[in-house]
Amino acid sequence: MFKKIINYIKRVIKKITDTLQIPYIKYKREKEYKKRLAELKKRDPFIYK
Amino acid sequence: MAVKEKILLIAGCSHSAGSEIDGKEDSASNRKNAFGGIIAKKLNRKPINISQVGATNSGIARQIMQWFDKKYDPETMNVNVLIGWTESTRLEVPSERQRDYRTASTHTDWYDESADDYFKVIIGWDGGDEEELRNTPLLHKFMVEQQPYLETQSYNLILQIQYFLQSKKVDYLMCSTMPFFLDNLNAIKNIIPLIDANKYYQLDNKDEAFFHKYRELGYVNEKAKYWHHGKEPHALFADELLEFNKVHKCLKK
Repeated sequence: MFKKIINYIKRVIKKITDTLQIPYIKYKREKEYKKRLAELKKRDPFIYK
Repeated sequence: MAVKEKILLIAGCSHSAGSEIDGKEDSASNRKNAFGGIIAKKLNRKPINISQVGATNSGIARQIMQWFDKKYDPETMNVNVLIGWTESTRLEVPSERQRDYRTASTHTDWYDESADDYFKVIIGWDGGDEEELRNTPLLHKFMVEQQPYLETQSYNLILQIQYFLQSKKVDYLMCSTMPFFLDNLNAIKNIIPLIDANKYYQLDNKDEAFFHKYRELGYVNEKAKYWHHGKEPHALFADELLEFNKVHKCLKK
């Protein structure tokens, strides 16, 4: 019983920490995307309108 | 038997069209001084430069197939083909409306009208009309995140044209005007050996692609607004291709 409660608390804590990390993960992904986009623009700098 | 007209069909993007050599996006003089024009002159072949400004690799493959479908006459023509493949991430997407890209390629020797059934997605352009503005952000994301897929597609297009020209018994030479980057992926490692390296200049060397090589060497075209190379890099690249051709005899005099 005690073990079950501990596991439940662990799962809840994990869920909370995962949720708290979402904005940071999103920010990191966006930053990485922008970096790769800039690299591609440098690689193919041509503009055709 | 009548003498067949000797033609060098030149297909590619703005680099093969000689864009901005004289500062203009397209002109007869640009096409004459582009590496393809120089090679045609050296080989005593009439240049038919069908390169389109802003072309994608799928567009380049289509230019060639459409030209052969609509213009080629094996009874009267002796055709060799020079192909300058471009940046792999460029996309062409079937469009909801008829477009007009002819305005960008005003001096092409033949215009592949099928290009007007698509809209182009280039990484440096966020789109102009409603359809482009709606689709481009998502497609830019795709271009950034799926480079391995897009490079694999380009290699497949190279093979498509290789086998197409082989089936017609037409001599050809291919080169990269923009480099491929991901030759360390297994999916690509398995495709590259299928490409005839005797007919593809510097197939396995991304540092030798026309635009990047001469940019790295420090060549700057003062007349260009969009960084295309000037007369000298085109002449030097033509010499490189002619040297390769001397050994491998891809294009005939």
